[in-house]
Amino acid sequence: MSCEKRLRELSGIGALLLTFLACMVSIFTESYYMHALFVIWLAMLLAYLGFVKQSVQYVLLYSFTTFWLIMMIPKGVMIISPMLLGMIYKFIVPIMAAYLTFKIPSGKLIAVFQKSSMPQNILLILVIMIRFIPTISGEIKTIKEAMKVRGLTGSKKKVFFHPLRTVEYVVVPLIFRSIKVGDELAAAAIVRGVENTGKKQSYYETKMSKTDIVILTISLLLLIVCII
Amino acid sequence: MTKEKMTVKDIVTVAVMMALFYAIAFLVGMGTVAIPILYLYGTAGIEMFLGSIFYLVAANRVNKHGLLFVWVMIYALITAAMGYMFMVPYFIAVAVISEIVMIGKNTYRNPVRNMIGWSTYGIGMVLGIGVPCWVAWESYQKQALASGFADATMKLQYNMVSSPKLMLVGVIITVILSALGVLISQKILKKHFEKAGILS
Amino acid sequence: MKSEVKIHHVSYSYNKNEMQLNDINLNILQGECIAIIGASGCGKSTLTRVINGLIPSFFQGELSGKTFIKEKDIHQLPSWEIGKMIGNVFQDPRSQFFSNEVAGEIAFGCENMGLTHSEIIKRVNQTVKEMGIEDLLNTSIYSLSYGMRQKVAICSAKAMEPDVYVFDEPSANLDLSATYLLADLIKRLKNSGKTSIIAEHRLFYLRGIADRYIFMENGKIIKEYSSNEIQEQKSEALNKKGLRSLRFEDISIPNTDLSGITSPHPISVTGLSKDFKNHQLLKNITFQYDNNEIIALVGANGVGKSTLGKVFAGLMKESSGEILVDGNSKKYKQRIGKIWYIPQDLDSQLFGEDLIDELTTGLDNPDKNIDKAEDILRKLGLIELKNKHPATLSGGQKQRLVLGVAMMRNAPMIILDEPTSGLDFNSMEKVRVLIKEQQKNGTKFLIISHDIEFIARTCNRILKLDDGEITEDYYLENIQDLLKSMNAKEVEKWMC
Repeated sequence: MSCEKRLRELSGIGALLLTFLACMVSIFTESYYMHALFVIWLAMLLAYLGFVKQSVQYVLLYSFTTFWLIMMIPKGVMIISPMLLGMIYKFIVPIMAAYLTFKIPSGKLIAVFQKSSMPQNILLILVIMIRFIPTISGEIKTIKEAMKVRGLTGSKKKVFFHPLRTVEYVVVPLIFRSIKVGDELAAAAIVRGVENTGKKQSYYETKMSKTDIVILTISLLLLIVCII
Repeated sequence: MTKEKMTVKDIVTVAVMMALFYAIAFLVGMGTVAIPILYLYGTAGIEMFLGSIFYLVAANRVNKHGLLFVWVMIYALITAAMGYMFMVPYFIAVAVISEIVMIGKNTYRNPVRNMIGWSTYGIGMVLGIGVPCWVAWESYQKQALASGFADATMKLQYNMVSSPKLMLVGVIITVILSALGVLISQKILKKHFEKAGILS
Repeated sequence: MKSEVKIHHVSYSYNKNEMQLNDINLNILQGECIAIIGASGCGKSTLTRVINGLIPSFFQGELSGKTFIKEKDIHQLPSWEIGKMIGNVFQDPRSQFFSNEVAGEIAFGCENMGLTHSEIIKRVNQTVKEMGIEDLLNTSIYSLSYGMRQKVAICSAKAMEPDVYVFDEPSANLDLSATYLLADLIKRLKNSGKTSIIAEHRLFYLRGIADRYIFMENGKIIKEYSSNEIQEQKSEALNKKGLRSLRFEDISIPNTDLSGITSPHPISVTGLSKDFKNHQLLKNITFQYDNNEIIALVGANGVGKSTLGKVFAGLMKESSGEILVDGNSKKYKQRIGKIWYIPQDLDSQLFGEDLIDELTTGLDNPDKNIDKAEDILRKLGLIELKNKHPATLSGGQKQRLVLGVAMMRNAPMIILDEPTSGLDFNSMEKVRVLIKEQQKNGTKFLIISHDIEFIARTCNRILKLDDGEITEDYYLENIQDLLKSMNAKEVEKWMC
């Protein structure tokens, strides 16, 4: 089975529950060894689903962070903020799981929301946020380029003495553009029947696949071991 | 409260502005995390300060009750998905209080009322730092006091939430920054968005 | 033939002073393909919104008269019932998508119709099979070209199995080959017996497809042309109505005597390359301005035109090579502001609170430059609008305004990336005239474009980029040469 096919087997509910379990591990684990075990499990999972490079990167980051926290901080080497390291240590588990959630089609997640009896308005907000967030960095990049051409970011002095003006330069075009995209999105949604209040089903499967069940069972067992 | 329902256009406006707010909040969080004190006392305030313009655009454009409630509820859902399920009732309470603060006609276009509503949400965010500790005080205390390597944050957080004075400092910083944010954003709103006619 | 869409004495205005639509009557038969044509602001887009029901529920205002689809009064129906009968394709390939992947996008309408999971899958699979994009099902929409995105938009309308399709300026952001692809898709819809209504000012791709052309002006239907009648129209006559030319062969290339134009700032490029992740985006680009000729940079999507523009303007650093301005080699940061880059998306370019502020913001002494700014606004033909907010301007006005910003800073060279996408003939003309005037004043231009009509009327010299290399470089004297460089003929033949 190819990696892509394996990833396709991961359902929205599977990815969400995995992220949830990972968060629980991050919150409740006190043992370093169990924490490390879960990181290794997630790294294996990432590699199995085709993200070998990312898996290696996470493990390296994790090893470096743990090493620094155990070996360097007690010696008083504070070049890197201990809090930042603590944060990385704490959040690397949920981030690794969330990475998988971002890599499956967003439609799979929406299908899960669709099935839950969440109010229509909240559902629609989530759908649009998931659709819109990936485009924000691109929009900001274009605005930054325009500011560069005009010398609006030009000198650090300008940014330092007129920080609000600089924020205004970024925020104003960003909002105009977003409102425009939003209105066009809304129109496109209405003509495709989004206002229908009846019960809706999804293109993506909302039942758990075998892959889901295997992944979640192992994760759950590890979580239980972690807490005890 | 008026019974006027939100249209698809309203919902999209709120969603898009919330997406921008979270993008900024994420950047602020990344920026302040390196400095522990700033992270605990300043993050909420800076987020509310910079994010106020997005809220004001949504509020003035939509001008319907339920907006602030929905805004906070989405935050609650995100925290729930991150495993902090026990935070949900707390944020529902914040959502309800924020919305109650906005009772009245056309309050979502009133600068002062928006300032109050937005600051209320800001206070909810700061106090939220305390909730996980207060819920599980015993275990939290144990974790924070036992010297491990990952709890530089925990110690600070513990100090903050166990001292009403320090907590008050956090709240005051946040309220000032939220209100100041609304004050400045209101100017930008007039200068650009009202003038360009996109708020109705 | 049965009547499919019937518009009966429809008038519409969103403020009482101006009528956007004025007593429109139109009867569209089953299986017909209708083009609604006219200059920007004539009401053609507004009319499409009446037909798809967005007026008056989404765009508020006063609507009178009746609109029927299959003899049902559509304004009595809820929006999702209209959606089952009418499929829509809009102008902007960036903002009409709801999902991040193709499959979810095509399924979106079906999900809203309340179909079952298995029925939705059946419809999506059938649609992609018919349209030949099975292999794109799991692709991210952001990775697709604009042409492919419009194809996905048509697929997602098609999956709902409507009998009528409404297109609102669907070609506005497309290059030539993508436009012909669109034409081919519309033709296929027509051949399968569907009714299409297309609002457009670019007519060339509708040749042989549209049965009738409804010409609108100031919210009224002025004239109706049959497919044969429109063929007999001279391009010049169409241009006068604000419409783009029907045949590229008709476009005459103006004779420009470049010898009278002085070139105060020589600019040249030698051996410019740009690498990105093991891939060479630009390979050994070398050329220089002979005089103040306006250069058009042409080539298919994704060959590196915008990259070249950005490297040139100092927004990206070159991997190797050299750019000389006034005989001096300029590092990328030194080029910023000297070589002025204007991208396609103008909304991200506007920072001011009014037009004067737009021109002066960021200058060291904004107050001292107000006179100069007013002078420039006069040249741009925007002086009456000087107190308006830039965001309220039309596309053509915005394009002129951002050119004005470059004029304000006396930039010796300006790079324009697709300056005419979505512009009708009149707006295009105004931009052209402005560029020509600036050329005489000594400004150099590099124009990235796929707009044949605009290039032919504006540019003196053609550079063709193919896979990061310059493959053609000549002075434009003959429209046939340009058509060949743009692959116009081959694409058209291949489609037919």
